[in-house]
Amino acid sequence: ASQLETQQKMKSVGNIMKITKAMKMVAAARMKGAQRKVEACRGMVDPSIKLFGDNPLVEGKSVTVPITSDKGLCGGVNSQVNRVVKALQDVRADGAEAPRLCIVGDKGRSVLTRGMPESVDFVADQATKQAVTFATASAIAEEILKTDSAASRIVFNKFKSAIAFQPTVATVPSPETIESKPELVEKFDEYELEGPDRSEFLTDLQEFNLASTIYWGMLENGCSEQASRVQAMENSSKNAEEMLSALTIKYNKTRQAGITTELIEIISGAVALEG
Amino acid sequence: KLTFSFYLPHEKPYSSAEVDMVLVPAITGDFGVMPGHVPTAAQLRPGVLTVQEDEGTSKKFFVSSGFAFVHSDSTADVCAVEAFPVEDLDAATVEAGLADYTAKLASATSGGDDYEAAAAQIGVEVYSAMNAAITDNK
Amino acid sequence: MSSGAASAYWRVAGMSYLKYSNLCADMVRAALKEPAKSAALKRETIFFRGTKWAEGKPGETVLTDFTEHIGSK
Repeated sequence: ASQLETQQKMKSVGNIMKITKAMKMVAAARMKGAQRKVEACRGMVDPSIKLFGDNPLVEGKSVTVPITSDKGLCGGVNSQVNRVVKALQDVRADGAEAPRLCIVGDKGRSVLTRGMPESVDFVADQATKQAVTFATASAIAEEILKTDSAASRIVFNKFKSAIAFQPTVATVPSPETIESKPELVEKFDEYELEGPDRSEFLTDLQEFNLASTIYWGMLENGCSEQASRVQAMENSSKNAEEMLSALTIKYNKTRQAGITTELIEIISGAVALEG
Repeated sequence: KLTFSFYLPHEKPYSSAEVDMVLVPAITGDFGVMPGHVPTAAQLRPGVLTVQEDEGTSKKFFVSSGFAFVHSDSTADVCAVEAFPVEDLDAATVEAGLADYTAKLASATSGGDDYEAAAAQIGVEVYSAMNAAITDNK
Repeated sequence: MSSGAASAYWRVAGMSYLKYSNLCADMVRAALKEPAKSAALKRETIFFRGTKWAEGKPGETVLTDFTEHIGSK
């Protein structure tokens, strides 16, 4: 009976291994495509960072925008983002309100709406079911703009390499926040403006930057998700392989034992006949 | 030389490339950017962005909208949502579209629908600009 | 918001800069020659499921699906 059991276990472990190996291959192919898209869009937000710097502390109401995956089985990408979101909730300027949350992705939704439902204003998920576009990012940005915040903080995993990604926070300040910070005003005053008047210019630029940052973050995180899935599936395949070889040894041992017993029975039977 | 970067969400036509001059279609009018240009932040209108790579070669892109930044260190960055070589625009479609939006604008204005009128006005603006770009490129 | 005098016409009509900007982009894409056009139209796709939350509770979920969107005309 135990031999049959072992055989069944071997079969199911073997099937799991086939699945994890296939998932790994699919994720690796998707990562390549995602990497091309990320590299094409990087830099979009650099000009504004040159202008306004990367100012992490903001007084007043801010909104945190965690970007997470819609699917699971991708290692630690989502828990990394959720951890940063919780830290941002606790670490803030004196007198600043707790940040509001606009969550992108189903995995952020499931954890954060359970952990801090009172803080949530908006959830956007399933966007990764189609190729992520600037138009989609813009539509999500419009919802975030409705929170009328002093700053939006986009949290995502920046893709570094197939084996490394880094939790990243990109801040997009509101026009009022820029105007309230002397160092930013001084920097911005160096520039001659060609366009609508200053407050409208800053409003338009904030909208554009928010959409660009969300688009960028979604691509970076999507690529990190695939990279992380490759690793996770690699590890699962390795575990399954180890388990399978342990089961095979066990199976062979019991089979060998069975054969030995049978042999002994036959031989002793023959000996008895001869005698 | 000017260090020029041109960013679209899906593509980077120029990435810290050394060019002679960039002609930017700002809302307030076109302006040329050469090394040593005063720091400027500009909002773009739908129009033609010309990149003079060196004396012999220049490229013309039609940009939909976006922003341009000229920094004090002779670097210039342009960000746009869409941009295509002017040759990629289809003359017949542009002509038909311009007529179409002009008619839409007239009917939306008389109908009193502000949003529709604004959308048609954008159509007229974009299609007139494309029309002019094609004519200039001939 | 200090001087509302010179506001852009599209903002007066209730459009955001992102609406304006994406509308301009749609219009340019619609006027392209092939094969540039087919490749560009894929970038018009908008797809996500949005849910507004208030006081710790989710409201109605709305699916925004512009995947069959062809040009703006």
